[in-house]
Amino acid sequence: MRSAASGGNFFRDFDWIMAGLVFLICVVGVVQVYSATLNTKFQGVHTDHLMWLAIGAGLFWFASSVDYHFSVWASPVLWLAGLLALLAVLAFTDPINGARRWLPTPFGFSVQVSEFMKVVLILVVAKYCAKLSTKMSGFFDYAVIAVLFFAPFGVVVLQPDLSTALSTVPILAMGLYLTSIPQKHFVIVGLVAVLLVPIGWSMLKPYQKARITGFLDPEESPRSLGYQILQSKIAVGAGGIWGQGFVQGSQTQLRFLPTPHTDFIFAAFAEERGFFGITLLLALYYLLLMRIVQTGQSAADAEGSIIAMCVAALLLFHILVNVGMVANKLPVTGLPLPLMSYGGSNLLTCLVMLGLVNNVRLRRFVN
Amino acid sequence: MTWAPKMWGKLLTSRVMHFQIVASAVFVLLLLAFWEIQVANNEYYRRRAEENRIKTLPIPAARGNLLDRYGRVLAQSRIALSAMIDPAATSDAALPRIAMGLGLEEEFVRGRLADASEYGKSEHIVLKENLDPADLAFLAAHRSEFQEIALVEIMRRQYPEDAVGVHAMGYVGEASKSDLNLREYLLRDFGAEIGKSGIERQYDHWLTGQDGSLQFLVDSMGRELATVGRMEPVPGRNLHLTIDLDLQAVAELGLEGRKGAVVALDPRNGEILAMASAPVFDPNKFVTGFARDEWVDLNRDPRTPMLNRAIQGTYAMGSVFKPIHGLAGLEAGVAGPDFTAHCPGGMRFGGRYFRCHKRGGHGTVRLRQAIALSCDVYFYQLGHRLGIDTLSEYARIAGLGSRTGVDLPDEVTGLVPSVRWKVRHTLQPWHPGETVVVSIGQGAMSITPVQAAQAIAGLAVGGVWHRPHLVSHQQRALVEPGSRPEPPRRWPVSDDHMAALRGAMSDVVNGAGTGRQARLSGVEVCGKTGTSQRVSNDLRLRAGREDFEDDAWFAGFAPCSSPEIVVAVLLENGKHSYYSAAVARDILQVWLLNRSSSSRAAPEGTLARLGPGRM
Repeated sequence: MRSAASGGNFFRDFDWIMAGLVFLICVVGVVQVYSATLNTKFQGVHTDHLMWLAIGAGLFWFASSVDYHFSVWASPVLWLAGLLALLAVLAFTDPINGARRWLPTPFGFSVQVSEFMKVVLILVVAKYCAKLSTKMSGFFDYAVIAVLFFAPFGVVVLQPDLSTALSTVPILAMGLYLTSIPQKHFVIVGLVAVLLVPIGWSMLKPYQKARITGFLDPEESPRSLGYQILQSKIAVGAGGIWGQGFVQGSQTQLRFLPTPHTDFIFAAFAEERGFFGITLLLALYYLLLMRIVQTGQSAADAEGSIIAMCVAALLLFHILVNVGMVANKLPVTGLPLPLMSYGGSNLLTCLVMLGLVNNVRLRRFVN
Repeated sequence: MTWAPKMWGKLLTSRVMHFQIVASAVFVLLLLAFWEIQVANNEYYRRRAEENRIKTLPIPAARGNLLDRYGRVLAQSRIALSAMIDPAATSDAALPRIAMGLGLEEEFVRGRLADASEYGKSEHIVLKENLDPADLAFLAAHRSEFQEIALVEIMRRQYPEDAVGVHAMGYVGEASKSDLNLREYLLRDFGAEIGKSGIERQYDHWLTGQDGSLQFLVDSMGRELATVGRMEPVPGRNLHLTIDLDLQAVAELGLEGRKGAVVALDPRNGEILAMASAPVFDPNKFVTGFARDEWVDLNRDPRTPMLNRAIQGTYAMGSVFKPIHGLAGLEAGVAGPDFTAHCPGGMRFGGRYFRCHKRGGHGTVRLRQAIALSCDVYFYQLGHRLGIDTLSEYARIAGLGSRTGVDLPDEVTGLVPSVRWKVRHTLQPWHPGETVVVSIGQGAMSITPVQAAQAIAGLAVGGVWHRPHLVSHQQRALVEPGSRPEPPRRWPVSDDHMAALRGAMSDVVNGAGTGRQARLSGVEVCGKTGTSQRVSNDLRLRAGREDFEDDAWFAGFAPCSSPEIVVAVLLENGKHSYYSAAVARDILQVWLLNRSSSSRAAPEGTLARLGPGRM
């Protein structure tokens, strides 16, 4: 085991570029949360958002500091704690909007355990997939990974929160893809997944089916679910090249756009900043991803690479699903846009994950 | 076999590259998707956003008022607070709750929307008029939920005098599907209030205003934030009728409880001073809506209250035809002073016995007595001498057998028989006996009360038959630019012949004639009574049915020497001209009173105030 970096090394090796990109995206997020909540009952939540960012910065520092090898080593314990927390949510809380997702804390706010579980899953996958990369893989190793992954997955599905559960799939996929699995296995898994789609469809709840069919034809059902999609599309389209201007978007400011500070924050941004703005914003996200990927490639060991790449995959998936939803190319899922959407749990989770990536970068030199 | 670190590095490099490719592709695709929405279709979504935040409501225009010749209001507009629905913004799921909240049948609401969509009406349509406090409370409580519903002050017709003048004025109602297919209403919208009959329909384009609109900024809760645009409505223009409300009212009083019609007009220009038909109906019902049975009852009423008998009822003219017949005799050079007839109470002709109404007979009579006493035998003989074609020629000169051209829709023509007509329609030759029957205004000949008034009017002023009308020539020039008053039909009658006819018609009223009931002090009234059979006398007496009773006529004018007013009265089953002459007398009495009082402004004075716009 390599020793933790000293203070001097910490600042020299700290990933200032990634931190800068994250900082810029977060600033854009705060400004957009402010604009989207102006004159609504959510007015002022951007200060809450800033508070979460401050806490998130602390967690980022913490996740950067504690050697990731220790975290990986301790991940089975974290996993067990996380699973118990998920079960507790399921067993002891009252449903909010028909789902049990929130665990109350003594500090007066609730946390969405499934968000933090993503971090644990990344560590677990890094731990066991790295093993696969060093020896011939056997059925038992796959079985362990399957249990570790699908046990929390199943609990989250039962909450029910299919979107969040599905959003963890990229972690497993990336972990397996980077390691021993021959490509033909991957093809087989992919085929099985495709075959499972019709079965999965039949098991979906009506509101879930409506989300999927609603996005295909938003004009079909104005005032219902299609209404959200349609209003999002109108907001985006009305933005044009240069946007309507800060706090000038009529769709956002007159509240035609649903949840403009959380799930649809990208639509609010697109209305007020236009195609020019979203191009710059997407470029920031793209550079951030590429920076993480570079960290993954230069990591000292397989665990480090897997951690970075899983974070990249997770972020890419969230960006794709959220922004694709706003562009009316993908169903409405309720997945937040990383680092921008208002909401503490997701923001903190993202910053912890990015802290882990920084951690990997800090310890990339094998002495 | 184990993986060497070198192999791991190689694997990692290739798979990281795969991820980079996938990630790049994702970002490119996302940018393309946004390009399509934001740049390529920017205009479309900008418009959609505008439609979202800009709500447009109609500001309904008031319909022009109908005024009598002195400016008294016959029909006006009032405000009705109404709930309108935006067909484009509503959803199927909301309809049952909206219907329940407003106390409407769901089927009705769906039907309205279906009709609106069938006629391509995409703006707001009226769901319920005259909202009550419960409706308003419901709408206030569900304002953000049912944003498709708007409260609008629409304008609705009100007839303050209720049924007075109803047949001439007509009534308005919401345009039905069949109305919208009519040429005159092609440009009107579904749900519009249109003239359905009478003046309301004839001059609908003049009376109808142009709705304005109000645009305001709303948020997604439907709250109105600011007004961004306003187009003022252009109200419809007022229309002065030639009707004199006083004469109209007294005419309708005279008809009260009876079936019949009255037309009073100015023989010098054809202006109609009163046009009444009985029984009447309440035109306000067409605006506020009928109870379920009322509409059916109104339509099935055997007394046909919806019929404007003045222009749509056809009747045998009876003895009122005799002055016209006399004119034909004079002009044809037959009925001179040396043409006499002996009336023993009847006459045998072609194997049939034709009775005079006076059993005892009139003795030997000339034209003057024949008209004054209404001797049938004289006219049997005169008609026989003239022949049917001469009779029908003069009947047509007097305007019988064709529409008078009064400015009302759906006037009927009546019938003046001739030899040609008989052969064409029955393939039978004309029998001379039929001429005898037509001679006293019976048989195949039928006329409308307005034709009777016009015929007597033309005669009264010496052979100038003006087109009867309800909108004066001055006003019509505004209403229908380019229209010129058509010249009256003229058949100048010599002074001798006029004197003969006037004298005879004066005797009817002022002498020993049949129309003594119409006599007035202060003005010399001329006239002619008539009692026309609906069925044969025998059948009438045997059956004893009310609707077989004779119709009673009176047509007269005053003053005799220079006529200013003509009154024609018809009472269906009126039994005796005694009654119809009395109705005419009452009208003339009021006319005389108003004429001698100086307080009344001249109609020209009222017209001078009327501009092309509103009053």
